Amino acid sequence: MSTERAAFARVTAELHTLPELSVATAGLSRPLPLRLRRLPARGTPRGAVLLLHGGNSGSDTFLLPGGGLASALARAGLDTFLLDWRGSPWTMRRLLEGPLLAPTVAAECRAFTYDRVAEEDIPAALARIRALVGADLPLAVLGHCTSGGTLAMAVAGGHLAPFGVSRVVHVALATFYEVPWDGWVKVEDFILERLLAVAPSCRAIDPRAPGLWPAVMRDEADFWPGAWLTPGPGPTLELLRRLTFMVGRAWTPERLAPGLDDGLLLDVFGPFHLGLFLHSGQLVRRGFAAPFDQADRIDRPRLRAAALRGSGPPSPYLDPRPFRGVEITLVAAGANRVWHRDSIDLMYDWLLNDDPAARRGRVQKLVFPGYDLQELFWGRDAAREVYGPLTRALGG
Amino acid sequence: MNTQTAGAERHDVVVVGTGFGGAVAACRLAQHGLSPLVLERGRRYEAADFPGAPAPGGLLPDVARWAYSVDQGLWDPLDLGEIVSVQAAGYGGGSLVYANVHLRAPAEAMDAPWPRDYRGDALDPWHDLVARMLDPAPYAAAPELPKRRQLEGAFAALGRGTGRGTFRPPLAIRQADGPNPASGLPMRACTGCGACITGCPERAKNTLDWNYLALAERHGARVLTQHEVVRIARVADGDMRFRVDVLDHLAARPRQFLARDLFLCAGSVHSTRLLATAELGEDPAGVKARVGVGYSPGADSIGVVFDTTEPSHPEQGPTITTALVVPDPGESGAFSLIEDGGYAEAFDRVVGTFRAPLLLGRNRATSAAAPPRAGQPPRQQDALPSVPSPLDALLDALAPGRARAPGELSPDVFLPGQLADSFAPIREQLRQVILLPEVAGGTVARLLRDGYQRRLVSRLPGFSPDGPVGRAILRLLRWLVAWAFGDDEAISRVAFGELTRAGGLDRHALAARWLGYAATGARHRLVLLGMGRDAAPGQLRFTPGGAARADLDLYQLTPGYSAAEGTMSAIARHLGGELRTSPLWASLGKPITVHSQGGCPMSEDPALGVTDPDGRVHGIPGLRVLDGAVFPRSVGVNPSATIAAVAERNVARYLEGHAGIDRSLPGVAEYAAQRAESLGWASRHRDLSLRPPLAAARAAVGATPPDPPLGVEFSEVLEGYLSPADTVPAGVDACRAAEAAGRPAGALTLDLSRVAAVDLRVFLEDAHHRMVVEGEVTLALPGDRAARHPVKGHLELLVPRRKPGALFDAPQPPSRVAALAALGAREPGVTVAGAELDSAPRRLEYVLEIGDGRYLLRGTKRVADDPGPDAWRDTTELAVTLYERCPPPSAGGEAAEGAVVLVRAAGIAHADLRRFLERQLRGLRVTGGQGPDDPRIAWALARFAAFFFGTLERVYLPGPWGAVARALDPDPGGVRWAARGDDP
Repeated sequence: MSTERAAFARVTAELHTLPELSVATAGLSRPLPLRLRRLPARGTPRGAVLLLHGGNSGSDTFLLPGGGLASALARAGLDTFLLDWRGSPWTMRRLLEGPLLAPTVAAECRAFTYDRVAEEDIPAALARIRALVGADLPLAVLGHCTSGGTLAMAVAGGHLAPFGVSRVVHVALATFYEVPWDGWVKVEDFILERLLAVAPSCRAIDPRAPGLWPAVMRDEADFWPGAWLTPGPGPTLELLRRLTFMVGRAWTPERLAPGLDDGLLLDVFGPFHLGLFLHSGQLVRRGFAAPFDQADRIDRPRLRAAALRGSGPPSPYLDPRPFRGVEITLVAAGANRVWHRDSIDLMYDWLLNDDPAARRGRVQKLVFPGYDLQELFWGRDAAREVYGPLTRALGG
Repeated sequence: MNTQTAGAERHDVVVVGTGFGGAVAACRLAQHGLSPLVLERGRRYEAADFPGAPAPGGLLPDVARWAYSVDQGLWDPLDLGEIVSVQAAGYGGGSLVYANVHLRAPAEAMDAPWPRDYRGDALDPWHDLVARMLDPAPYAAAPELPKRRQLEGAFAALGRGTGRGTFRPPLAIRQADGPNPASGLPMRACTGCGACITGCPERAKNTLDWNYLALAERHGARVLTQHEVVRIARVADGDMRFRVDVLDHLAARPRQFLARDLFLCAGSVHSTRLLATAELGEDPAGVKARVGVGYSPGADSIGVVFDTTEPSHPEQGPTITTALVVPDPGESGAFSLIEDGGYAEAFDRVVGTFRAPLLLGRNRATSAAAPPRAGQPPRQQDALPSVPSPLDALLDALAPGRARAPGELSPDVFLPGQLADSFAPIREQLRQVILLPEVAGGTVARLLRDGYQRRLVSRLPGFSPDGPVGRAILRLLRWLVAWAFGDDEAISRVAFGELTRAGGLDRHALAARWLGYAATGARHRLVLLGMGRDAAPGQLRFTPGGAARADLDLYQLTPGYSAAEGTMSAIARHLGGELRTSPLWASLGKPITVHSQGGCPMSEDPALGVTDPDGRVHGIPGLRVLDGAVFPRSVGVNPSATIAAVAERNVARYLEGHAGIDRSLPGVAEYAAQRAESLGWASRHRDLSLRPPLAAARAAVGATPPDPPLGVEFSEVLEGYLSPADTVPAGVDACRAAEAAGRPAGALTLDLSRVAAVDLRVFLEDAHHRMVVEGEVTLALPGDRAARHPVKGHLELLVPRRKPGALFDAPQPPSRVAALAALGAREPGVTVAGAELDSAPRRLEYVLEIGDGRYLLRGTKRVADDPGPDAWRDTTELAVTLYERCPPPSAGGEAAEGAVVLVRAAGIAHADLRRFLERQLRGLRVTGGQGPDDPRIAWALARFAAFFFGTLERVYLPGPWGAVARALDPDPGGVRWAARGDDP
């Protein structure tokens, strides 16, 4: 067993897996299973933290390398909780073993949206955490990648307020959704929307199993053979190649921490529900958070003519007032090629525009130049350069 | 008056913009408890937020972060037609990307038409206050900066005492770690990385968000970024007087605010635009008719010296560290500045594009003086293989029979001989350009077989991917995706690889080869920045939709640009390098300015300007302009300090007249302290060069006589026939028919050895565009045998057919004319460019006296005399009439009293194509230049060619160009752009 695998096994052994969370969701025939794990703080806890993983991956994201961010937080005296929410491979594997939970895939998709995650999964986890740590311990939430966006929806929707969350950290994404040019081309190509028509049985997409992809996806990926990175030796590079096609390049192999290239990352990734993919596409096309399937009357908001007409229903998530009560840290990976770092910069301007007097000192932005998205946690220098500022932002 | 104000937020004071005007206003208003709403269209930038250069493997930077028009990025270049004006967009405005220079205008520049309260050094107390806030000082951290040492050496070597104008301007940067002197915020010492003009990554540049704006927010200003003001209107809603329509780019929605007092500080172009498109209702002073007058681009120019003998390290030190002021010997008060221009190392490849082979050397102002010396990097080589070119076929068609070796490409036959040598390398590069379609054509076709873009196109409403438009879009998509947006990701590499595989080239090799996008010899480059006091004010005009056009008297401005270019060339020669000027300027005659000024000029007389000396818009209570737009004339130096000083003065005037200020507020005390601390700032800093040493420079240079005027001359030979008057056919068509029927061609030969415009400026300005003609004519005069006779006279080149006196009678609103006159326009409303824009048919009129003046030959070439683009025949076919004066003039040339002029003969003459190509075109030369390297030669040739061919183009192609312009018009519902003089 490699050193890194051994470290991973050690930290996994330290985790307390809490009784399974089960979330009942309208439109589904069964409650959805979620997993909440706890890495207790070293010493007396100074606070508690909930970590929310990104799309296509699970909460193990925060355990790599060598215990990862979660271990750093626990060492800093933070009771650290890892939620595998409904988009996690952990949940999806259980789901995909059984039949559809709704009459059609399209109907099931309506239960797999970021709105539902913000309304149901995050509050369920926070309620459990509060029950465990008590009412007084400061509580912070970190959302990474798509969960950064979901976390902003949860704040805007008032779903955090009952649990006394005092700090939130948005990594790479919050209320605004900007992508590099290739991501934009892909969502404008409506590949995912076409899947509903041409592959009606496709419920999820797994970057590790391209053989199971619908033909239309395979065709797209094969369109420019080799365009999604030169194939290299080993399954990790092949995984990265598929991810790069799906969402953009999430890391640069040479910049990963040692030991992460021997297949360990394969276990972090897995299937992601089509409904969440569809919602992501809508958000990218629109540019800011809005409920699933909200009419897209302003499809590209930065086209000034459309924006000046001002048509379209206002998004309930574009209200900055609920953000006033929490300390907010926005984290940008300078070389992020999954989400454009404008996603964070726009959020920063938007928050500061809202009553700067109330904001002053409660909003901060951290930029890590040269970092790809996943390198914020897995990068060679992440433990030295990133974990410290993140820990402080979370109350450690 | 529009009263649609329901639901709008109400504010006592709204400030539009956060540059050197808006930041000052926001700060002072907030300190006095007036809680202004500050609207900024750009983003907030912290040290790590500025957009970077393209990634090492990439070609273009992240356009979303660079271009305001894409995603509210940092830069907002506007094509104003005759000029490109570049603005910054962001919280802090121009301070984010300016070169930190804080200079006061020389007293000579602060004279009329500036209002009396501003003249001379009257603005100094306010300059002192700005200096108290920004703490400028010369860059002292590295006295041995190579670029500064080399440049100052070059200044000293310029001769005629020019070097006495050298000075080191004060810079608003921090040169030691510590608190900001205005806000107390922690800042760091400048590291000299050169990134000043692309955004300081070190928190060392004292941009406005560190001082004025920080204080403004501290004292209660409410700032909304990414809120772009699109229109203002007067309203009557309680005490609210203005409605401000805003686009909130973040929430993608329109918003409205109401204001009692409104400060426009959006930058010269945009403040002027907002005022020009404002719904003002009653306008008692008639300012609307004058908005836009007095616009000045500040005579900005840029040059890059490549291959300096010694390494000059443009990446070391702040962008600007030293400067030279050069007084204009020809005009009192005018001057120009030359400054160094450093940049961050990451932009090496971008700067390399100044020497893009595709520019064909058009922007080469000097050639490198000497072969490379030891230690110098190899000069850029043209390394592509030599191949036959399709241009050969073109040449054969135009000049058949010319003996050439197969495959020889000789574009120099098209060129004036004076430029032939310098065009030799261009010839090789031209071959490569011709190659490009051959390289790419096959692969484009192959790519079109693919399905991906087809699906994209199929979703465009109304387009089939198989139709011609769809195919064109597909092709465009390929190129755009791969070329423009690709960074170092594999996708673009592969896409572009597909495109160029047949050529065996990768995109970086292509970019380096065609665009000069390479860092070769980057340490041996030196950027030179020029600016100066304009010779003439221009005008900004706007469509109702807000699209802007600048009418500049480029003819008046060009000598200034040329003079700056001449100084830069001399510097380049001293440094052993090659000067390349702005490609836009060299190729399209379009200058670029980052120092737009004017448009809402201050005037004491409400009839002669837009704003009063306090920045209030004449006749519109509550509306003020507080930025560079109010300058009645450009200041010549980097204008930011003057903009801030004028804003300090005028916001203080506003506050003096404001009744509702609580004088016990801490901000009021803070302001008073800053005012007190600013007293005598200049006298405490006598060691600084607060103004360019213009007087010293002028004294040293002395009263140098101006250079002789530049002229243009060529020769021309026309051959044809002449028939006696009694057989004169009526009309040109009859002449042609007679000639075709066998009239004796060759019986008339006009050998005009010199057709000259002695002073090109006069020629272009002259309504008759008159040239001197000398030569010989071979013909048989009545009663005589065929013989050669000397001729002299003049040619009127491409004059309209209507009466010349009526040419410039385009109507102008009287107030605009008066305002322009007050601002210093030499002939208000009378500009050459306006006449050239006319598409009316033209003539070339020859009036030649033969011998002693008894006989007069009058010839006319009619341009666009009939439908169809027959430019060759029109410009080379001369309809000739021979007149005789009866009685003949005296020996002294005096016409006898009562003399009549009789028609004696008429005919037609033509130019020979081959002779035209080989002799007339090659013989076109510039006179009056200072040696073969005088950069003005290229300017004069380009200007003459632009006049000649530009006029022909407008005459022959008005329809197609009009159609293209309509298709491209972003504001099709708006008013069409009329010829100059028609008020839109």
